[in-house]
Amino acid sequence: MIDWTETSLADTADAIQAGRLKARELAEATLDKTEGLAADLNCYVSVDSARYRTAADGADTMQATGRPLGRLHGVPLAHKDMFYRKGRVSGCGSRLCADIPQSTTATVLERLDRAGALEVGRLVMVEFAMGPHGYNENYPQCRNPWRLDHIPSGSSSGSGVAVGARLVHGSLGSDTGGSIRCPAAATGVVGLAPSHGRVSRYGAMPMSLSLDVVGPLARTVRDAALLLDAIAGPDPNDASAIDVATGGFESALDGPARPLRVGIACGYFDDDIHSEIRRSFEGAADEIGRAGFALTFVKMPVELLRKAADLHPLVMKAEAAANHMKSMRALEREYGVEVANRLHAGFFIPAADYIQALKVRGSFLRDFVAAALTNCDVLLTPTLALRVPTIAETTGKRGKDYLDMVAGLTRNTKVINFLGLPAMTVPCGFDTRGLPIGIQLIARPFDEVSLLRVGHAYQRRTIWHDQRPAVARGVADVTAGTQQEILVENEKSKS
Amino acid sequence: LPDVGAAPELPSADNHAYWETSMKATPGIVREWNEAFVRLQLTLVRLEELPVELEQLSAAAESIREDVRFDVDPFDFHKALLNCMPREAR
Repeated sequence: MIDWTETSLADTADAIQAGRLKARELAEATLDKTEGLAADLNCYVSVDSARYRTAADGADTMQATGRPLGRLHGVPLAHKDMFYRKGRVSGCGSRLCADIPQSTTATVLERLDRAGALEVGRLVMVEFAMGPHGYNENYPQCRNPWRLDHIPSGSSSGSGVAVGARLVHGSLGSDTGGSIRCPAAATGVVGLAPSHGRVSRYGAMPMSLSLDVVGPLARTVRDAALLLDAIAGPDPNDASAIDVATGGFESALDGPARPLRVGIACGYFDDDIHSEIRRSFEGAADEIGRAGFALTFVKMPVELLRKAADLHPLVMKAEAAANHMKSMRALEREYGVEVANRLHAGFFIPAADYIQALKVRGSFLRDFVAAALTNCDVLLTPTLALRVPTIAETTGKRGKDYLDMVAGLTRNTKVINFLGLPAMTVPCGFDTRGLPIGIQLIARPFDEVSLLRVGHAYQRRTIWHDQRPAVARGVADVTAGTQQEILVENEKSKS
Repeated sequence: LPDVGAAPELPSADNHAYWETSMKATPGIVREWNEAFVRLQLTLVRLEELPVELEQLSAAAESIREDVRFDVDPFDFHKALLNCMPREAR
């Protein structure tokens, strides 16, 4: 008997469409599993079982009438708690928003509704999406399903955990400096930060509008393509959502296409990376070469990337401070200490410095593409430069120690937000403590198709995305183990 | 115009040591700036911590002074996104 909570989103959606699986049947299995695991992982703010069951029944009734179904019909999703739905609270990880129902619905949620997706509940996030570790003092500690004493990373912490632990088939997150890709890498799932302007941010909590993007976390690259198909495209409610050709991401995975050249980034991204990450990264690059892509080494414009990395917090903090000025002056005590501290510096940034940082983005993007993405279509880098830290290693830091921790976790991701490029992390192995490792794929603006094609070809040749953490196999205490032990245990549980 | 007296005498613009010291973010400067414009309830600990962060941000801004062109609109970034898009994605 197939456990449909374990299958990919694409396979599950196909089964529902073919009548082999009822949405209600899947809802019961999903809610059972959620009830069993959510308390260990602390990834949900709230599970709306009644609403989900009603929606699942509605989906089955609709299917029985023979009406055309959306691609995501009946599939359970849950999202970072920052996508507004009219009449419902979106807590944004904050005490300030905990009781205020929204007056509008996010464009991305409307699009997922139209595609037939169902929503299980609201997922935990770092307060106001400000922090890459996954910590939020307003909630119990959200935990990495691979090792409960390690961080899930963030800020889309609940999204990574829920998808990684196989509680939902996919999730939306937001990414300002790595907030989709870092938790996806830390929890062993695919995370796609689309090009700036690819997906509408209307009805999504803003953090830094110059840098924010909305995108999916999913079990496979194909699943991410399905979700991107559903949410991408221009939106009259969001002037920053650019009107470029969209759709067809899933169909592009297997169809005929131009041969792609893949570049291994040399410099900046691979500086001082942990030896275990280097080993997995090099193994993944070799495998991508064996999949038929022409591999080349590409020297990075290191000085440009260092400047972009330094300018990223300048833009992010100035914009976040502007968003929060009113409530920080009046209600700072309602903010978590860490987030309030993170906001402070933004109030002291001179307007001229902020505008200068925005003025150089265009030339930085042109120069980076000319240097790094002219002789290849997709660049490969490690997603995280360091191994996933423990909760203890990242909690309670102050001053420069805190800044160094944030910079360490986001070094390889935040520069991509500054450049507005699409990037995706794909699982590529485990470290010796049993924590996942991710490889980051980067492409030119609006070339998500190339990212997805390379990632999908890689997943067809590898098994990393098929591995489940012990908690998802019903093993309560997680001590993980080595990469080899994880593979053996997963194989045993399947048979 | 009213007579405001002689302008205070400042060190020469070539006196880099003076200006680098005087323009450096210090807890005192952060406190005065906060009281004058920002108006947050900053604790003493934060007043001590913030200069490190402000110096980093200031250095980031300084690093691109030479790169910033007078006649570029920040919206140039959107043009660059479209210009750098591969033909197949259009």
